Amino acid sequence: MAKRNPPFRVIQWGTGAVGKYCIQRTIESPHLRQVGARVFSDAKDGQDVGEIAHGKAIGVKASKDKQAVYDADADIVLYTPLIVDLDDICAILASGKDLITPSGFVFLKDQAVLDRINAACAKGKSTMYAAGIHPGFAGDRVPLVLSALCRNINKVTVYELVSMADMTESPDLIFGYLGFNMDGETAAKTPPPLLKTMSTIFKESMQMLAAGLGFEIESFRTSHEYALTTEDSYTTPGLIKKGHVGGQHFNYEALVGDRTVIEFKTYWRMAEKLEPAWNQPMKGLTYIVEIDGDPGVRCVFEPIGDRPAELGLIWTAALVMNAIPEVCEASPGFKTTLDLPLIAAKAAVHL
Amino acid sequence: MAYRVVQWGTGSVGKLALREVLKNPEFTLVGVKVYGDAKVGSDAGALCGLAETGITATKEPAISKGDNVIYCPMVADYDEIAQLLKAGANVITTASNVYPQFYGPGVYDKLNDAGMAGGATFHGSGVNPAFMSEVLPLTLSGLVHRAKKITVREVSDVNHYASTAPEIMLDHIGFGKSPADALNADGFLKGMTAYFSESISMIADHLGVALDRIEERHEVATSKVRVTLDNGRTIEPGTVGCRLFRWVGVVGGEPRIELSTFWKVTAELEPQWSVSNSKLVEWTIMIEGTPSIRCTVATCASFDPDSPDYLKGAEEAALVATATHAVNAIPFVFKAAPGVKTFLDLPIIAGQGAFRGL
Repeated sequence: MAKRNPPFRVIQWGTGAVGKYCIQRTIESPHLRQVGARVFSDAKDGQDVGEIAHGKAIGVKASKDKQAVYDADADIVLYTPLIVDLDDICAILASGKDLITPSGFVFLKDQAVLDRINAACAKGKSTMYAAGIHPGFAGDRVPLVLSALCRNINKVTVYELVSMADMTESPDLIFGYLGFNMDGETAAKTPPPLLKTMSTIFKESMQMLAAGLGFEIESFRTSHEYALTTEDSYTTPGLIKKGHVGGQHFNYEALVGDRTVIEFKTYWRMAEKLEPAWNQPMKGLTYIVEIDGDPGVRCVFEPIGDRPAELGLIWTAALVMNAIPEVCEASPGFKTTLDLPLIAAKAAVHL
Repeated sequence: MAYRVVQWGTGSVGKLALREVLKNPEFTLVGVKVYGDAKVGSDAGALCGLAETGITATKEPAISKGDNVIYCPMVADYDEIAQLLKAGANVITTASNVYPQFYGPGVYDKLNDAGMAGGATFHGSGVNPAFMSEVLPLTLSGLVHRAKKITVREVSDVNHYASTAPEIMLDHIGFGKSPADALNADGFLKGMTAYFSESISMIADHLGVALDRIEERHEVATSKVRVTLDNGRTIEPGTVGCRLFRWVGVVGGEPRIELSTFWKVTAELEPQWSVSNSKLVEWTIMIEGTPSIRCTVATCASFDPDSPDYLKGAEEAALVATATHAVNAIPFVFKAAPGVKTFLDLPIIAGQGAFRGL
């Protein structure tokens, strides 16, 4: 018997880019009902939730008050704040609501954190699950699904190839936080600010893949490389001058002994002409999952036609939304992709 | 504890499954069922090219509660499967029945009731149909907010298959025949139609849409050149050189789920279909929706350009994948509740233990 029954009552926690997509889809979905939103700014406090997501008013007000969320009668919280707070997560779960987040937590090896979350779930008879495109899908769910075809595997490699030149993200994010357009000299002295955060979340993803394939990772190795443009490059967020950072390659490896068994390779580029000239096509957004094994398997997925600028966020929001029915039906506790059944566009289909 | 396995049938897929069961320390082979008198008494190892095992093939292997039967005949015998389930053995089959619900309560209830009575689980497996036509498209559908159409297309070069199994590819599928003769449906095509219809029904049911009907839209193209197979037989110019099998799930009067398979012995075709020259078996999954996504998948011996096996062995790889998918399901089926369990009921069937020699 289902733990909860549709229409599932949804509270949005955080109304940034992913949060707005979630609100839009919740409002248009017959199996979901938007019953609240937790916001962080005074400007959004008291605003209609539909209007925050650039839609029509729905008569539900957003609030800065966390306690209002804990006290609310709802089935699930879509937790998409900029900065994750474990106390808040546990309070939501203990208040009896399921929770889905795209911010880390795809797999938990930290027993203390896991125990806290499971205790909160036990108290609230609630379920927590993390969903997203990468981590959450391209680097773990997809290779796990594909591995069913292989009798022997030597290595799993996952490529993320992103062209960011047409991104509508703010120049502050692209040039400040992500470190594009630094001159070569500054770049050589400046480690990318994202490396630590990303290596943490990708470690979880690799650990889940390893758990599903039945082995333990012994160590990790991370590296990063800047590529400089060889000509002035005009992008949506602004000009990248010749000789400045126009590409970034993050590389994450999981090892057993001295052998690399999982490798995530991400290539983010703002410019076509780069030095070093990566042997990767200038493409919108492509994931490639390669299993070196018997048989070898190669899987490539990408958008058809023009890519919406925020496709990565749209895919992440879709994975969050499509997980709602499975999470609402799951038994209480912290769940991963290894625990839940196949997550499809079950409720999103308009065939 | 190793899972006890009985291999049922040792044809092209069965012998690959048998080999995998013997080579993987997670499994213990406890019996082999064969159909032909010639194979009775053979050692299991000899049937799949491995060393002697001491397990002898018979027509009636003993079954114990908790055994896992990898059931690989061409066609499922429901009475036989029900008996195995009642005896407490889990049954994983490559003989279609990925979604036995499609065949109605007569089949579904028989399997499900037998499983409940014996405390055993039934699961239908496969690559296409099954993995490529259901598991992967449904997985990818998680990326869309709205799905309008799901298309799965296989393109296979079947030279090898036509050479090793001419009775299927030439006699039944119709390579080398006139278009009219090839399009004249026979029992073999009826079987394929049933299997792909299972997939379409499974997708529609899971996504909660009502199918109007499933249409068959098959076509053929003739070869412009003479193709000589490895077995010496020829496909003459003007005879069938490519078959397109296509099944369409119609919802609300519109084609919404389309599963198609191009089998070719040449890419020199009339009409000039755009099928690639590649020797790879390639699957393309498209989900049209918001946003739309395309995924291509291929299997072969190696995708490493430095390997001597680079892009080789695609047809063998597809067969290995079929057998392996079934074998990899054993731990998940063993742990599942009794009754019929489809891919929708089980966790992801990951290749547990596939990293050998770590």
